[in-house]
Amino acid sequence: MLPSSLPAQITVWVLLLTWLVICVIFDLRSRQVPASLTVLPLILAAIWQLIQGGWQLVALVALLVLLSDLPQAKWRIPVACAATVLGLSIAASPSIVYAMLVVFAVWALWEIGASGGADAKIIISLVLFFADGLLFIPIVLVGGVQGLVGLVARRKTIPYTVAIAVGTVAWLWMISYSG
Amino acid sequence: MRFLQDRTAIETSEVAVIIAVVVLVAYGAYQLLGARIAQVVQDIAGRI
Repeated sequence: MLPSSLPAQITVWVLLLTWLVICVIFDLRSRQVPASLTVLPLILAAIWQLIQGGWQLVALVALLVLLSDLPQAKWRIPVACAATVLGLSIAASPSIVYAMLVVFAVWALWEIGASGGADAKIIISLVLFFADGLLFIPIVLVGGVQGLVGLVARRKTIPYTVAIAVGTVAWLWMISYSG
Repeated sequence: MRFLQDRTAIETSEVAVIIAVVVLVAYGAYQLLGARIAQVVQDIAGRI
C-alpha cells in the first residue's frame, strides 16, 4: 500500500526506482546484487508491511527464509506449500492472498534453481511493500518478452532485474491511472 | 541463512518465457472463470 499523499507517493516512487536502477547496474556488471541491496530492503518492506497490518504475509516470508535451511531438501517445497496453504486460510484480504501465492511461487522458483536469490529477494521485497501479488504479472510478462528476445537472438544477456524494474514501472503506471 | 546469502541474479532464459506463459494462462483463466468457480464453491458450501 502506497502512502496517501501525492508528495509522499512521489518520494516513494523515486526511492524505489533508484534502488531498482542500482540493482540493475550491479547485475549488469557482475550478475550479482550485493546482499545490502536486497536484504535491507526486504527487512524494511517487512517492517512496513507489519505496520500496515499484514503480519500473515511477513510471517510467511520469514517461514520461507527459515525453510530454505531445512536439511532435508526434498521436504522444503512440500512444507513451504503446506505453510502457504495455512497462510492463505488466515489471509486478511484478497490482495494478501495474491501476495502470498506470489511469494511462495518466487521462493519455489529460487529453491528449484530457476531464479537467482537476488531476483527473488527483490521481487519479494516489492510484494511485501505493496502487499499486492498482481505486481508479479507485468514483471513476468516483461521477463517473458526478454526471454523471447534472447531466444531469437540466441543470446541470454539480459539480466532479470531489468524485467523487475521495467515491470514495476509498468505496474506503478497502471495503478496510478486506475486510481 | 541460505536464501538471504544468495546474491546471484539470473539472466532471462527459456524459463522466463515458460513462467510468463503459465502466469498469463492462469490469470486469463481466473479472469474468465473466477466468478463461476466462486459461485460453485459457495453452492457446495451451502449444501454442506
